[in-house]
Amino acid sequence: MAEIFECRNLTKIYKSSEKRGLENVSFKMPSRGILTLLGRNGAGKTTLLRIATTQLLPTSGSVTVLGLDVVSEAKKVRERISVLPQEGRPFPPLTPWDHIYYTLLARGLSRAEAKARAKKVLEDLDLVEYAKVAADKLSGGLRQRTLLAMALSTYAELVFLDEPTLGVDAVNQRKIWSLIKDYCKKHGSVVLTTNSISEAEVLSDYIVVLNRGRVVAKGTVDELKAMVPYRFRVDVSEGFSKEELSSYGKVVVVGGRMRVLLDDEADARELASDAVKRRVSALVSPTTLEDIFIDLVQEGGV
Amino acid sequence: MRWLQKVRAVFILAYMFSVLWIVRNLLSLIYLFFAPFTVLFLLYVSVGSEVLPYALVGAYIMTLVEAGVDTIGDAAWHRLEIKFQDVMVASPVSETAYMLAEALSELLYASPALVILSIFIFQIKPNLLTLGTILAITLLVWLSTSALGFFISTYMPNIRNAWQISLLIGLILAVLPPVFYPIEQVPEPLLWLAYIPPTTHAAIILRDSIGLTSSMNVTYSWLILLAYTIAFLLLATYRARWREK
Repeated sequence: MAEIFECRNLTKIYKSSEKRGLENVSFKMPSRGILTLLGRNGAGKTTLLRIATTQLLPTSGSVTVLGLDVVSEAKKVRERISVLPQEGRPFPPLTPWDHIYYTLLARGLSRAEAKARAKKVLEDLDLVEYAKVAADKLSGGLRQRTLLAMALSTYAELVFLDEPTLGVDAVNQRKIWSLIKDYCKKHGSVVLTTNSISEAEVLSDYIVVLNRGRVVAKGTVDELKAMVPYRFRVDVSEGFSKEELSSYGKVVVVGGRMRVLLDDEADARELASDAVKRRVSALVSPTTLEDIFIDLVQEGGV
Repeated sequence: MRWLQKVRAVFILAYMFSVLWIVRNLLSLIYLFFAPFTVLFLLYVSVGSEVLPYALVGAYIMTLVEAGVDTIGDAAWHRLEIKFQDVMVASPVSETAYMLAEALSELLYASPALVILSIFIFQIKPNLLTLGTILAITLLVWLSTSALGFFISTYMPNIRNAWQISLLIGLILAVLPPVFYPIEQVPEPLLWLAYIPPTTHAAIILRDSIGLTSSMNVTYSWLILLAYTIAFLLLATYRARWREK
């Protein structure tokens, strides 16, 4: 049985700048589910997604989507996928209904089918009351949901979502997450890009962490968590030098604060108690996917 | 995607790009509607009624050219800003269908002015040959300039460049060459240049159909215009292979 999505030694060098967008990227998504490409801005997530959706040619290596090569079998690939591009925008005078209904018709659906699907996806995304409102009158979040609705209404076997919750508020973010999960159960697989660790943690069956065009980690959430040999983290706001903290464990800088990653619970307690003596705050908690992500991609702080 | 489905996709997308816009926002129609009549008025006032047949032919071809080269701006906007082209690439809609939809939508924007101007031209010599010539010229100029527009749009790095270039191409194709005036008025040393643009030949053919004959053999003009149309279509099809390198 063919893999849902697979990259083999994929490299992309941009001709214009000689910049390496991707370097020797290899991973596979063996079965139906949600794969997340996680990485900082400029990590190569969108480049990879554009190659997979047949918009950009790779320099070397190969990508297969639903068992089809994206270069030599592009037409067949296109019939079975859909995409939400990053920072796309709806047409200003067109309504969410227009966007969904007419793109479904253009994809070859009958009027009745397009109508039924448009109606369903508008309900699912809480867009019914805005269905006939021009896009230029909608908020940024509603516009993003309109574009997402266009992608999800296709019921494609594999949907690529480039930062699907960009500009969406926290409440609607959660709704979108549940819709993506629901899509995966009912219709097909999803490949999404994000730089949000919580999004990746909630949604993903598989995660590929990219940094500067290379894969730095891949696997399920649990497998990734198991990769980092630290069970605890201690956030310290001030009162310690980096050298002092290094004696307890690995020090990373997060948003100007020092975070110490350590495995020994006794060391964590000792550091917290030392902080109390110095009358500074220290917060001890178990490590999360965020710590692993920062550990993998951080060079000199975020 | 089957052939019929492709045709259907062309009309649906063109409807999305133009009719829905026009219905919701009439302002989107205003420039292409008024521009040719503004030029007609200017020529009528400044030169006199004797130039009206030339001016009508010129205004008709200018409108077709503007509709065609507007593809530069709109296709670039759909690709770079709206990202609708990305959505279409990852779908069963073919690149040719998408390109034709872009072109057809521009023709729809220009159609109110084109209908009125064509009626005026037809009135000058109302017979089947004139009607046939108007339709054939419409098809060839629309196809060639839209294809050229789509081809150029694929090279545009940003939307501002696209708008500037479309204005420039419009001037080069519809204002500078002998589209509004007879080719015989072009100074001898520049005559060879005047024969280069496809629009020169479109104007020669259309003028000939209403009795304004020129020194140029019309058959050659037909052949040259046809050759340009095929060449521009091939260029556009080559560049419309979606994929960037």
